[in-house]
Amino acid sequence: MFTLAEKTGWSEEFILWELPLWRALAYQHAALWQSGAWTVAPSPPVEDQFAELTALQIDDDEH
Amino acid sequence: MNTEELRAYDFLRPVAAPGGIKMRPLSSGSFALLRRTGNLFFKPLEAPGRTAAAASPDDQDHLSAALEYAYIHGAPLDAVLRAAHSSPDVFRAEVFRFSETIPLSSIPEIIREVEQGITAAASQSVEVIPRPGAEDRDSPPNS
Repeated sequence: MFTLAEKTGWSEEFILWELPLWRALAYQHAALWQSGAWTVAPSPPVEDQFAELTALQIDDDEH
Repeated sequence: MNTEELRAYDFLRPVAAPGGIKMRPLSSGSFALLRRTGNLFFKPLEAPGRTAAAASPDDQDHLSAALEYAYIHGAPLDAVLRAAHSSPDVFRAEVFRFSETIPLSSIPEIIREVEQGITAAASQSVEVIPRPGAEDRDSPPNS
C-alpha cells in the first residue's frame, strides 16, 4: 500500500476500496521489478510439492 | 479470459450491478474484510488433515457467502465496516437485511463476479525470490 501510494499519489481510501485487487497486485509487481527484486509465480501448496517429490522418488527407484 | 485480455479490457468493464445494486470491485480492503468475516469463498487453505473434520459446504453455505460478498461490495462502506467489526450475529443480520433487496435471479451474476475477482487476483500474485548468489549485503541500502 505504501509503495503504491508513494509511486502514484493515490489516496489510501482509493487503494483500499476502489482499486481492483488484481490491478493493485500488478502494480506492486511492477514496483518490485523496478526496485530490482526477482519474482516468481507463487509455489503450489507444500503437500502438492511433497506428492510430486514422492512420485519422482518412486519413479527413480523403479529404474 | 487470459491475463493479457484481462489487462487490455478490465478498464473497459462497466461497474458490476447485479440486480441493480452497484458493487465496488474486489479490492485489498474488501479482501481483508472477507477474510475477517470468514467468507467461505475466501477462507485460507486448511492444513492437511484438518479439512476432514469440517463439514462440507452445501448450497446454502455458498448462497450465504455470495450474499456476504454482495453486502460487503454493495452496501455503504461505513455501514459495512461497522457491521464487520461488531459481532458475527450483527454482521449476519445486516447481510440478511441487505439480501432482501437482491433479486434471487442476480445470484449467479454475483458468483461470476466472485470468480472473476479471485481468478484475476490469483493471476497477478507473485513471490519474491533471492537473486542467485546474492547476499543481504548486496541489498540496496535503506534511504
